[in-house]
Amino acid sequence: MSFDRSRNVQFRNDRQTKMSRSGPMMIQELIAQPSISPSTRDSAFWSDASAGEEESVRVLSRSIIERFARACQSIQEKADEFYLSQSKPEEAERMMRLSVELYKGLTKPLNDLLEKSTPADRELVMRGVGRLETAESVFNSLADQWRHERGATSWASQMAMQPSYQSIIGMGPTAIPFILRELDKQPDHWFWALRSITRENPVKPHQRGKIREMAQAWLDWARNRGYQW
Amino acid sequence: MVSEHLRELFPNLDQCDETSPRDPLYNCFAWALRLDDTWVEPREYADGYWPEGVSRELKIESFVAFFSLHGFSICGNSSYEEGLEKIAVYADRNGAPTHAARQLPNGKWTSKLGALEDVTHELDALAGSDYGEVRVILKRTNPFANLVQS
Repeated sequence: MSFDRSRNVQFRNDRQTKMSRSGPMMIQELIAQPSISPSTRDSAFWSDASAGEEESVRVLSRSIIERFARACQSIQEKADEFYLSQSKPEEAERMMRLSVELYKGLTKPLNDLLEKSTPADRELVMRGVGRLETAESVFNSLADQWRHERGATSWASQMAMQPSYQSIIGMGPTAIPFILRELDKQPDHWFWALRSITRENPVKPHQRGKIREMAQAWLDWARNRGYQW
Repeated sequence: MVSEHLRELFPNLDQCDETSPRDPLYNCFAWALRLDDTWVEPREYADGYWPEGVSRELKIESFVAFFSLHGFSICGNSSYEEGLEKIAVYADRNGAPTHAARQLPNGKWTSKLGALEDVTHELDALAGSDYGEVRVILKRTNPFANLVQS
């Protein structure tokens, strides 16, 4: 692949200008442009950058990734706040969707970058996205722990009382995309958590106990609200 | 052969056959009725299936009423009797139901262990665990007597 230096430099300058703004301003800007697609733009950027200038890429990447992470964190916190207060549920959902888009857009370039990084750089980058990475890994760890802790109980209500399950509920809306992904992969007893976090229940009375149908009801509900997982 | 995780949960389970993979879609009370796509649970907030008109209290009486809707009545013994199908309901020390097992034609019992596997076992092999003890045996005329048993 040929490396177009002028295009790459211009692209990076544009990105730096965008990213050099303060956190709240950037969030407002991103909210105003929900069509922004970090994954597409970043893929082009990182693909070009991989042809050379690795050091400058590393320096720039830290800045971009850390700013992305801070933006995601701010958006998630705001969404949490709206969810808990129930004052602006639509705004909360919109923010959650945005943070998920940002997170997914971040994953690919981050992985590309980490492959090329020194251990010291890797640590720096990981610190920058610590909260987001932590959220997913904490969820996965708690979910594994829950499957072990629930043992052979015959009651979903006891399963939901396990500390690991309660901790997942405690993660709030941040956990929703992770729960949906689990539900999509293998229907299981995630309904209590979803009800607790969202304060909704799309399961119809005749579907109670039919775990596959209940999972489908929640996945349909999530799609209708723009969740991605 | 007993898997390590089952041995941890059921200290008295010396021998059993695992007859299904782990599956969170159904529990023991559904499996006692030969259902493998339903989670039966009386608590209102638990999202399980429970018939209208049957008490949702976690008591043996509620489960006797539940199984009576499917033709079961209380029985005095757990011995195998030709033409009858039997269910054993376990309860903890407070009398709260914890588990159900269904008798097979060979006299052994089949159980779905929560969201884990189905196993074939002796009746008392699950006793002494979180499931407590067998508290009641129910019976009905076996509607599948002339069919291959599962």
